[in-house]
This record gives sequence, structure tokens and C-alpha cells, in this order.
Amino acid sequence: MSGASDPTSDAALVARVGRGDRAALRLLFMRHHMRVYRFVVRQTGSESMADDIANEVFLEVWRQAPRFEGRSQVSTWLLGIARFKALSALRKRREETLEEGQAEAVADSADTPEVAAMKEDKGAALRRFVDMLSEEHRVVVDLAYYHGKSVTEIGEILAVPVATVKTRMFYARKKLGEALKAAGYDRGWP
Amino acid sequence: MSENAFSNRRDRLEALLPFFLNGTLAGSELREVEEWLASDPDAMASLAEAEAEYSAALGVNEAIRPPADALARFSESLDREAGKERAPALSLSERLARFLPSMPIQAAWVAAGLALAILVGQTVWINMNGTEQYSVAGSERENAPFAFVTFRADASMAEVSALLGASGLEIDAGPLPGGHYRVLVPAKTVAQYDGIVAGLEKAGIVETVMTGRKPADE
Repeated sequence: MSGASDPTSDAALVARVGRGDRAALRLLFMRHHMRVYRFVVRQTGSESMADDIANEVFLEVWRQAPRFEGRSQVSTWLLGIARFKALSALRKRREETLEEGQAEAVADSADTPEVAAMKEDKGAALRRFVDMLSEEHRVVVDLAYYHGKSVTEIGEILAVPVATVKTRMFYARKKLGEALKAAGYDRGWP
Repeated sequence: MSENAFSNRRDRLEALLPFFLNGTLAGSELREVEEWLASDPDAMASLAEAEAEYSAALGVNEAIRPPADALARFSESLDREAGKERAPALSLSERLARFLPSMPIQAAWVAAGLALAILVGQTVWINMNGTEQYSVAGSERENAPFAFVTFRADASMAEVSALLGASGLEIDAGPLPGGHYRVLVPAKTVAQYDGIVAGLEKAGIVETVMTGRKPADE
């Protein structure tokens, strides 16, 4: 990200949005929408939910930009908003009945994870195991590996202490290692 | 959960490897991981495993593609949230250029001057006929103090009106050669006149101010 003196830096764009500049918000959208959208898909498992939530995230930027203090990176701020909105949407969805499409998807997954992994190479198996991590472990893996966030930034996004981030990363990696071993792939640790 | 969950140093360092790979590890933790990687053969194997996890996480995320029309739909949502977007404010010269597109800009300024003169004349006529409050009689106007002012090219009509209105100033004629406007200065003494002119010079939309007729001190 560019420095604050750069008029097209994220921070400068948010300042412009705070003054009602819609072109600046559209530029921020183009710059960050892909990652926000992917982050929400990973949280919710639903592309249609992610589409609505990602839109809502940037509308929230429009509303909150005058109060953005720049204490964290704009991308970290966006992911924090996305996380909050995704959790709210998931809570709401849990209260509703299981959709027909989801029921079919559950019925179709005939293979156990181990059997499915044996049909794949190690990379494909690992992608599958990353997807199968619990939500609290998967989000830490995604934020570190895909979004390039630090321990502190992940703590900000998830609203948890840095020690918790490290512990979740430890257990996430441990579970990935155990799943690979169970599927017959060598792994030195754990 | 806390860092006490780590039963040994190896577990703690394994938890830091992803942050070493994404380049966000710093300070003592970075040094500790680097020393571990340099001294323990198992560490390099762990790093390779972390790299495989890195690739897997990139793969599953990059397989997700947002809808192609996301920006267009967001713009519609924004319009609903904030109201329809207004066209950006145009400067005086831009407005004239749009109003008189076929004319060169100098001719447009002359046309604007004529329009302004008509407006001033009309205002005087209306005030003289419609109310007794009109205070700048023709003879007073002829003897009134004035200054010559040029405005910045990007100054908008609204900005010029606001500045003149706030100081009780009035454009008497213009634009004259050089883009000057003759502005009546409501001052009864030289000190008042100088004060008003000094204020004009400080205004951001004013380019130059030349003193014209000053009041005769009483």
C-alpha cells in the first residue's frame, strides 16, 4: 500500500470517501472487492450471501469513512467489517430452515474425507483439508496465507488476543498434518 | 486459549511459520524462527509443509470468482444509499464554455459581461421601481469607491457570489480587458476601503486586486 501522501493510497481514498467522494469509493471497491468477496465466501460458504455482504461492507465504508482513524490498514478494517457482517448473516441463517440445495449437497457427499483424499494428489488433498477445517481455524489460515495478515492484524479482524491467533494457527496446522497422515502422506510434524 | 497451549518450543515455532512465510513476522520472533531454520534440519521440512499449506490456501481462495457485474450493482446500491450523484461543480469559465459551446472563450467572457450588465441594469430598474430601500442611486454609483478585481479561472459563480455578498461588494462592470471586474467598495473612509481591499486580496478565489477610486476621507 502506498503512503498517506499518495493521493491514491487506501488511506487517502477513505479520507475522500469521508468527504462524499463516490469515485474514491468505487476505486476502493475495485481494489479490494475481490479479496473481501472471497473472504466472505470462505466464512459463509455461500456465493449469494457473499455477494450481498461484500456490497454491504463497502456501503458501510461510505457510512463510516468520516470516522476512520487510520489506526489499522484499510484492508484490515474492511476484513473486520466483513467478518462482523458474515457472522451476523450466519447467525440469521442458522435460525432459518435448511435450504433445499444444501440438503442435496449433504446427501451427495458419499465419500468420507479420507476416502476422497486417497483419490487425490497431496496438493488437492491439502486444499480439501483446508476447506474442512473448523471455521475458527480456517479463517486464521486464510488470513495469514491468502490475505497476508500479521498475527496482530488477524487479532484485530477477529477481535481476539494475539495469543489466541497463534494458538488457533497451531491447532489448524496440527489438524492439517494429522489429516494428511491419515490419508497416507508423510508429514514430519506433528 | 493462550500461548501456554504450546507444550514445547517446536510447537510455538510451528505456529509462527505461516507468518514467517507471509513476511509479517518481526523482531525477536523473526530472529528465533530464522535461528531455528538455520540450525534444525526438521525445521526446513516444516517450512516445506507450510509452503504446501500456503499454496493450498491460495488455491482454494483464488478458485472463488466474484460476479462480473459486481461494481455496477454496487454503484446502484450506493445511489440508493446516498441519492443520485450530482455532476461535479464547474468553474465559471467551464459553465460559460458549456453555455456557449461554439464561441471562443474570450467571446464567451464578453457575452457574460453583457449579460451581467443587463442583469445589473435590470436590478437597478426593479429596485428603483419596486422599493424605496434602494440606496445606490445613479449619482452615488458614479462617485462610489471601487477596485479592479480578477478572479481565479477555476472560481465558480457560487464562490464569487458568496465572497462578494459576505463583504457587501457589488460588481459594477466587467469583465474588462485583462479579465478585470470593477467592484464597488462600500467604504466611507480610506481606512475602511484599505481594509476591504486587504480582505479581498486574502480570498482564495481572488487572483489580483488593483485599487481604483478611494473614498474622500471625511
